[in-house]
Amino acid sequence: MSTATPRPGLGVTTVGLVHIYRSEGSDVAALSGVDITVRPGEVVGLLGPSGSGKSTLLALLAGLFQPSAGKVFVGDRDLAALTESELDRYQAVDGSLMLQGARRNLVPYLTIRGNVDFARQHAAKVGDEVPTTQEVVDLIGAGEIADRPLSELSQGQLQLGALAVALAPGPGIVLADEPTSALDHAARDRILDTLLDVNRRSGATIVIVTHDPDVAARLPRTVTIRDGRIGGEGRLGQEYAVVTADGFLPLPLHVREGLPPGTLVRLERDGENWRLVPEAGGLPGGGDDVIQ
Amino acid sequence: MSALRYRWVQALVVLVLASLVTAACAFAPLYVRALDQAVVATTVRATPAADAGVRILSFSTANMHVTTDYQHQRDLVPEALKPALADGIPSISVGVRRLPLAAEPEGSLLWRAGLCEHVRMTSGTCPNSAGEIAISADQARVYDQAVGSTLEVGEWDASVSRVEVSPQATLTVTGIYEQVPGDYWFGATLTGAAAGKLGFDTMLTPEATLVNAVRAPAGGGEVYWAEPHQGLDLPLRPDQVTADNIARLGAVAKDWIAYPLGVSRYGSDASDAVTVSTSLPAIADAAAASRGQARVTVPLLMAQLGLLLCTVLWLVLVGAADQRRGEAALARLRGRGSGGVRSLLLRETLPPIVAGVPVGLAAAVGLAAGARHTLLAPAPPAEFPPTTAYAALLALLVMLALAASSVRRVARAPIADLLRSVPAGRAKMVLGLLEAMVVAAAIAAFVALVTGAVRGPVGQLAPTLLAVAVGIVAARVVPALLAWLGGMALHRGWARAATALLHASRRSATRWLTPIVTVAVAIVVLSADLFAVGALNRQHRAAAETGAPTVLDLGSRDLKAVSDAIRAIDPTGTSITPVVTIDPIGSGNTTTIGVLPDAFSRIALWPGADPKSLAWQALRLPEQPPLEITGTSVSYAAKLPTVDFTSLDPDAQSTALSPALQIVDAAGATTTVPLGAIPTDGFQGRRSATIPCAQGCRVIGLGVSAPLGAAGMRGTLILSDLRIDDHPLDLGTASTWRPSISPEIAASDGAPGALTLTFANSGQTEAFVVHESVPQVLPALTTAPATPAAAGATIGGYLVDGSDQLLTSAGPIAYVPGGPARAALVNLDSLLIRGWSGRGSAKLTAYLSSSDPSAVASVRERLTGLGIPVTGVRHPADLERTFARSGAAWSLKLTTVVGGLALLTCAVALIVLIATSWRSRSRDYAGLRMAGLTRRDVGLIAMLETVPVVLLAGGLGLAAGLWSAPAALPMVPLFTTPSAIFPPDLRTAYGPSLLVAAAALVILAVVAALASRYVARRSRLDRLREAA
Ligand SMILES: Nc1ncnc2c1ncn2[C@@H]1O[C@H](COP(=O)(O)OP(=O)(O)OP(=O)(O)O)[C@@H](O)[C@H]1O
Ligand SMILES: [Mg+2]
Repeated sequence: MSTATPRPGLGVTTVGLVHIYRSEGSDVAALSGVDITVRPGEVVGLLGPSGSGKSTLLALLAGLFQPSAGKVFVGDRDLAALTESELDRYQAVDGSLMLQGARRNLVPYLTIRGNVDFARQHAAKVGDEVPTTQEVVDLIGAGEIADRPLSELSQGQLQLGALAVALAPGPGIVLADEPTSALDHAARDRILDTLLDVNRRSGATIVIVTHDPDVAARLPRTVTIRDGRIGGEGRLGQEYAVVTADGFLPLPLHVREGLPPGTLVRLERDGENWRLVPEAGGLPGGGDDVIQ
Repeated sequence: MSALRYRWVQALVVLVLASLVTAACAFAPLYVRALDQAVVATTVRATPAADAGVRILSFSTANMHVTTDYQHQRDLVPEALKPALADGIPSISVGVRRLPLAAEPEGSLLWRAGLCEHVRMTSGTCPNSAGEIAISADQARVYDQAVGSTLEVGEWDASVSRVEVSPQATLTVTGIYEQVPGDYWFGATLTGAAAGKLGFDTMLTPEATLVNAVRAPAGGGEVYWAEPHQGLDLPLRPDQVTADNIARLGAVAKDWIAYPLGVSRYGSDASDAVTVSTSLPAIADAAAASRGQARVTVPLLMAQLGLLLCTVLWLVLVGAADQRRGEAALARLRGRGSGGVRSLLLRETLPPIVAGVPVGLAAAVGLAAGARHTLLAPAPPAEFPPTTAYAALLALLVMLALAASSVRRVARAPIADLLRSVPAGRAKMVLGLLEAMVVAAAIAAFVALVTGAVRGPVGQLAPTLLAVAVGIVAARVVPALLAWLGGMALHRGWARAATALLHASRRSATRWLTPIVTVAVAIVVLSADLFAVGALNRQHRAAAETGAPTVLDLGSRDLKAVSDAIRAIDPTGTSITPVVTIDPIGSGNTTTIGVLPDAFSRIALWPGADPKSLAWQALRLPEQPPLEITGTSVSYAAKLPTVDFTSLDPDAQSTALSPALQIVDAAGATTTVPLGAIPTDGFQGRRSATIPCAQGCRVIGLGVSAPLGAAGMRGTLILSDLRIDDHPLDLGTASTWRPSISPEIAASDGAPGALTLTFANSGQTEAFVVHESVPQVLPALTTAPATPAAAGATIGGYLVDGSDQLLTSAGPIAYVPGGPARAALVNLDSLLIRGWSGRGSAKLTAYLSSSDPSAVASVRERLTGLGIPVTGVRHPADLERTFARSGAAWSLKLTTVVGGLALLTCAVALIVLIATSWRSRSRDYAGLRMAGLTRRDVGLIAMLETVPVVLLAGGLGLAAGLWSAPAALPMVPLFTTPSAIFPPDLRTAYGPSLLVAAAALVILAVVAALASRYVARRSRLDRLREAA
């Protein structure tokens, strides 16, 4: 369908990623040591409570600003080492960020087609091969709304437009911040289907931030961010805790309820499994938790 | 393009502002150019045709070939001048005297091409063949020359002094002419001499009389007139004199005047015999001066406006860029970089800016056309000097620079910042670094201007820079102040006021609005002050230089008659008073001005001075009453012991001398009356004589008179028992007679009733002691240049008879209304004591307290009835009109345009700022509506939110304007040439300035109120949309 050969999906590796927002009154540590690896062509969901740093991580992957510490590699690029024009080229062609809130991705006085053009033009100038506007419109199946004024479109249609804009350059990685929030189910599914379809067809890597468990359940891999750290991983809805590079194991929330801070635990081997045993005299009713 | 459609209002505002900036820039050269033309045209028109034109005069002594022929004269005209001059009027004149030679009058014969069309023949015909003349009616009457009579004349000229050997002619009178006044005559007056029996009037004759051969003296055949004076008068063609060629015309004319036959023949006899006169160089100088002044004032005014317009345009552009942060963020997000963002933003603002240039240029042309017709009547021709295009180009470049700088902040901002919506700024008192620098620079420029350290462009911008500084600081202070006031209002429980004030203090529009209103009002105030000060100075100077509401120039030379007539018309001196001005002989001397102190101080105009503070009491007359006599004969007893002579030559020793009286007769003439000869070798007895005092005389001197050429003598004459027509006259004591030093004579008291005169006349024919009623040194109020350095020192003054009179300064006077710079004001009655004999250069005028035409007419009628002709009527308004028609005044008229445009710009900015804050406002108002406030309340709050800001900022602008006006004024030329007597009054014109400022504030407040009401009205609608 596309005349342009699809750009290969880009992998992501972050090492000890720390980001601190410095503002007048106080500093906020949004990320405090994130190590995450995404393989090329993978579809990953970022989960986590509000304020946990998901959007910040996405912005760092998109190169919107530099992390306070740590490194971000996208494909073979070290984002911190790029010159300004290289970074511009990365943003124009390879890494496409879809901001939270459909309208924020769209120039208000342009149609969807106009917006795709707007995003495409520059990419076409600096990138080698970029799909045509029509191809992008067809890709998301938005032919009938592509030329209507934005003010006439529903929230779902706008979100579709925002997605079209993000896909305009035929990116190697799509970073979508809550693309399905504030949508009804049909619209949500349409967006998600389109994203998965694009991934299937072009092999683009896709990172989706979401709060929605239904969305998370449809994603092959999810990563949960908690307090600026990797808090767990999921595979098609199944939750896992992840041992960090320096050997820590963040406990999932529901486990933490049973093991308040200060609780002493023993780790016992039980064949294939590990058993986590709270110290006797600890809390009553402390059961055995198994970690696979 | 779609962006332009989306934000068309913004694009329109940018276009309007861009065209205003262009118009302001392009208007200046257009106006200056029109002003140049108007100045030249007015100066040319104000110059009498005879002065403006070129007059070539030559006589034939040295070089027949060059000077005898007016064709040659025509060839002398420099090529550069030819197009500006009309066809010349040739003329020839010859000085003649009537034969046979006795005490016969002289006159001149004149031929002037086409003269018959410019005289009216009251009888006879205009002469048309050689030997025929037309004479004036006066000449015919006074010298008894009827039509048809003949007249024998011989040539008479300074260089042909012996009429016996000069050419002669017999002339026949063919008619009596009357001169028809007009430019044709180039200012020549043909009559006037004969009426006063001073000589013949000009006699008109055909060319043949003057070029043909005439009779040689003593019957010796034929000769030509020896010294015909050739003239060629070339009238100026006013339409050919323009701002472009006047400088060249003036320079060429100046050279030509200096070297009539060219530099190579300078100093030769021939060139001495040729003179060229024209006031073209003076016209050129006046035009150049006026143009120079326009080049100070016009840029000064336009600079203020330009600065305001640029500020507003910049604010609008920055606002436009800010509104597009979202788009800028998207562009960055899609990898366009800051360069891409810049071009994205500029693509929206540049087209309206560029489109605004031709619109502004057209507006400037239109505005200039309007200004030409309304401000510069009569309208100079429409022109488009190339500087206009350069100015428009400059405007474009400045605006492009503004546009480029306006997008810098957004283009440079990190994406993360762009993605965040701008947080509402808090009211901060602290200035930013850039603002602080601008404020410091503006204040520095202003201080430099006040101390006189800068002029030129920086000085011209300084007034508005001050306002900018005030505005920037106010932009910080006003929101804080509003917040504080809001807090107070809240505390008092005034909910609506508190809401409005707190909203206003948060609004970013407030921060922009404050400096704009401040600067605009400052400009309006500055303009109003310049306009008013200019007008006031013109009015006051005209009043001071004219002297009174009405000044009548009197055709009489008899001070006594004039002062008697005026006293008869107005005995109390409340509505009319005589003024005599006696100009000094040499320049740089003091002019004596005689007035009646009380009446003069009441009737004269004293702008900027207080007549009551002057030392009028010092101008008293001498205490001694005048010695008046009436009668026809005098007799007296005299005793003269033998006199000593300074010469031993018996022939030089006079055998007699006579006592003498110096009197002023009833006609005002001063004469010496000898009272009968007395032998010098000893005499005692009575003598009598006749005196011309039937109508009364005033005795001013008593002394001795000796025959002409007698040797100096020394003696003592005792006079007693003097009787006039047998009535005894008391000569008084010696103290009533003032001695004189050269010739030496003094009075002393002898026996009772006798007066002893001791004299040593050292050869002079007359020696007098002067009566004490005749002042020796006249007290005068003197202007600064006429005041001697040492107190009590005397200065030379003049009496009405032209004789010298010592004056002392009895007090200072700032200026004499209607007088020159160097003037001494004296009591007119003290001038009258010596009388008036028609000599000297005294001018008589009457000052009237009213300018009402009917009052003037009635005074005029009465004066004429009393034998005092009125030759001219002057009012200050006439002079004021002349002042108003100058480059300086025209430049100042531009203040109306500048003030108006500043106000308009400010109103546009107000609307734009209120409209751009519409989104946040209507959200707030919708919130208030939902909180239960009525529509009225919300409307009120909306108004309360803007109007106080406008008034506060306007008040600061008023202060800045009033503060900067006195600094700017010294730069502004008010007149083409400074007044000799009236120093410019640069004090702030508070009345007009405050009035105009108040009007401007009302207008701005109304605009602000209407705009905010409109926004408030739409708040409901908007709320619905926001919810959607
Ligand atoms: N520009 C900023 N300046 C200061 N602090 C910020 C800024 N942006 C985010 N933060 C803070 O950093 C932390 C992480 O924010 P981030 O937006 O990345 O969280 P999030 O996981 O995306 O939350 P949400 O689900 O609500 O979108 C939060 O505590 C937030 O308040
Ligand atoms: Mg977020």
